[in-house]
Amino acid sequence: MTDAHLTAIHDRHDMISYFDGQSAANIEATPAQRAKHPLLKSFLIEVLGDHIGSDDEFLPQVFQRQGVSLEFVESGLFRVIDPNLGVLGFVERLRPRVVVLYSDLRVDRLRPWVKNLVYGSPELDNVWLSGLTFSVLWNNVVRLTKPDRFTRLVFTHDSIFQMTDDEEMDAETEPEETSPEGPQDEQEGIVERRATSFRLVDRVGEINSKLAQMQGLYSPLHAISQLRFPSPVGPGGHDFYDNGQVTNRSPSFRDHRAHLLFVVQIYERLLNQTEERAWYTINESVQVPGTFNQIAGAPVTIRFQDPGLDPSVFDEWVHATFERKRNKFRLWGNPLRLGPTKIHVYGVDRHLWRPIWMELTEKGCTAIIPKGTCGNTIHRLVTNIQRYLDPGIKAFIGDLSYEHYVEDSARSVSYDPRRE
Amino acid sequence: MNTTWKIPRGASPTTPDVSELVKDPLFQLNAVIWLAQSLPESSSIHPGFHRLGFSVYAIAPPLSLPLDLRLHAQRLDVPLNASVKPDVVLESSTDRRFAFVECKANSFSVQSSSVNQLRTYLLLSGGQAADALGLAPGQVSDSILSLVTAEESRLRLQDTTRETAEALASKGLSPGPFSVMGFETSEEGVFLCIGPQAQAFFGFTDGRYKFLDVASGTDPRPLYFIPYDPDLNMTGEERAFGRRVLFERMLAAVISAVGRAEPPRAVTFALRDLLNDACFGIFNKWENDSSRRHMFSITRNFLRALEKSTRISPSPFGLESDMWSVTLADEDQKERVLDRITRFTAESVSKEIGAVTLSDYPLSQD
Repeated sequence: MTDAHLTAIHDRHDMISYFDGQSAANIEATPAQRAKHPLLKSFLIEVLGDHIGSDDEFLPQVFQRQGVSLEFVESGLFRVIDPNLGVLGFVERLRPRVVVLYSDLRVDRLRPWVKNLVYGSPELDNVWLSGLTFSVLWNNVVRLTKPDRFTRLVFTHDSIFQMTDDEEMDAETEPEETSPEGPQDEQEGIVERRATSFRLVDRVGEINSKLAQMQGLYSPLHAISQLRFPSPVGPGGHDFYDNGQVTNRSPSFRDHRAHLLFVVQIYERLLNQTEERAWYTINESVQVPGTFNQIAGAPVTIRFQDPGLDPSVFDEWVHATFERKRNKFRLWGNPLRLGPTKIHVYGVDRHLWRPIWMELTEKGCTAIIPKGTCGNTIHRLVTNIQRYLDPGIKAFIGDLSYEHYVEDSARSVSYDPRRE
Repeated sequence: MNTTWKIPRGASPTTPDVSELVKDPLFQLNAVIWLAQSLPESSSIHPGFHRLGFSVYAIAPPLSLPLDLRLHAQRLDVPLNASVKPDVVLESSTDRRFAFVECKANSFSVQSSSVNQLRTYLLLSGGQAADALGLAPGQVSDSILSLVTAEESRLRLQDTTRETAEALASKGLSPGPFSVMGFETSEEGVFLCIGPQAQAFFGFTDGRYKFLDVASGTDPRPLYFIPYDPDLNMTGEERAFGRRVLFERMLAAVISAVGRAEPPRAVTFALRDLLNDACFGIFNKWENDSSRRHMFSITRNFLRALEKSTRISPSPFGLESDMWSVTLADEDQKERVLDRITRFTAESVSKEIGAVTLSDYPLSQD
């Protein structure tokens, strides 16, 4: 993709046709050709703000604050121009709260670019697809795909809080992300902590018949970090990552975009449902306005598998999260220690800069989300706890399971891969 | 107890006397709110009221008796309070039953001045509940006064309440039903002890309900919805703990607002809003002037301590009357302010700010 090609695109139809052509060419390309023309990657990004759904001025302002220009193409579609890299691709508003960046820049350059963009802005966040969310999406893959189609799942669990002293010294900054194109080989040397990261490629029916049984035997298999929706229009499919990256390995961009729309609809409904249920606020009584305070909201509860975290892991989790400015959970707080494995934190999501109140124990986490704190804070928390602490967690909002909310969000979304 | 835990910056293990903790009305109030929250079966908190269909209808609503009843009581020489504010009103929305919950540190005798309030509650929870709540008579099918105290005080408080109710009845007044519940602790956790009246009203099948699982050597306090209430008869330790929570919440509110700000701009905070956010909105409902002044005063002192800890010159902070501001000239200054205020811990301030006249406090620097 060159600047000239991208600059020549004047509307959404042009963009879809262009990427469709690229996708078809890529699927037939030899490995050498593909090295020159990387696959199309989409990054799903949540945008926070009251105006995102209603106008085309707000989004360019948000990106401009990070030094990135968005050039208007048509309503809800922008060309992305980085001052150093030139035209990078396009940003499209898929839903009021979620945009997507399309680009075929090499992933080793694009991923850090997106990471810097999101980390630098309290108005942007990744779309966080937890293992619990993926487990519901997997059920959709099973329902929508012929059982003899091949799919790919990646499981990633890394107990980064089971550290030796030497490792702790090296952990002042965040560990590097795993390769987006697949899990990395283990580093040389002996890994002292539990680290599971592997790829499973098999037929949908075969995996479906075994997965629950395997998860019962080995809990890291709950930590799905990547899932392929096989394409209904050709070989390959669409690889969804837990941080919102989606790689198009199908011959059709239209099909790719339809899958993005499907998952984004689920995610946005999930966000709305989460906030509707979890936001704690004081409502004034309808009967006597201005007089009565009524608490509305429900706690978010995350329970670890029995017997819970080892005290040393709990300690390291607390230490690494609240002693380090750059921490995996992106939280700030002064922990109030109430016991060997119990703390209270009246803290802040330091990415979105919103308050979150939490009790952390070796058995789990209870969080109170004051009104205004984005639902994404919860989904990032669930994703990270599953990935770094316990892959087999159970999560709840109020007395209903997290999966219930995901299933409920997915149930009412129509699936139409032909839609543009 | 494991003594090898790392103590994070600004944190110290609390060491409450658990048997004293359950006497504290602030603990009791927060426990009652948690008992009415929606939680999964596997939670360490067991929300008995919620599972029996009750939710929080109102927190500290100011309620008054009908004027005719007050005049009638006056003629009978029965002293009452003009109004009361039960700590919590619980509601079963399916069958419109209401419980007026009042938390008590201890029992008291029928000679105590607290009996005026008790009489008012007893009359209110009778036939006056709908009027007091501003509902049509048919919208309240049943109501009860539920006193909550420590288990060791439960029977004495029950006797006092029964005697008071009998005295009202002997004068021709109509006290409503009442119950007294008591919190107690054991090695297994925190329990709510429930008398027959409360069992019948709420539907508890047993007289002892486990509210909270507590690990050995661990402070049983759950997260507090209401961290501080100067009107409650809090113990000194609970007062310090509540202040710490209050200040940490205010600090989180300040950090959140500064973090989201786009310089150049001044971020302003109304002290009232800071307090309301930290107290779940009930600050606006406190009518006691001295309590409000106390809260404003400790908030100002907290903010001064926060300003002082940052050591930024010239100071970007401004405190005028009931408004506090942080001026962020540019991104560098925003980062500097954020860096300093995120290093601040309210631990020492919460211990030292007790008397409302103090104005300046030394802080530990990390």
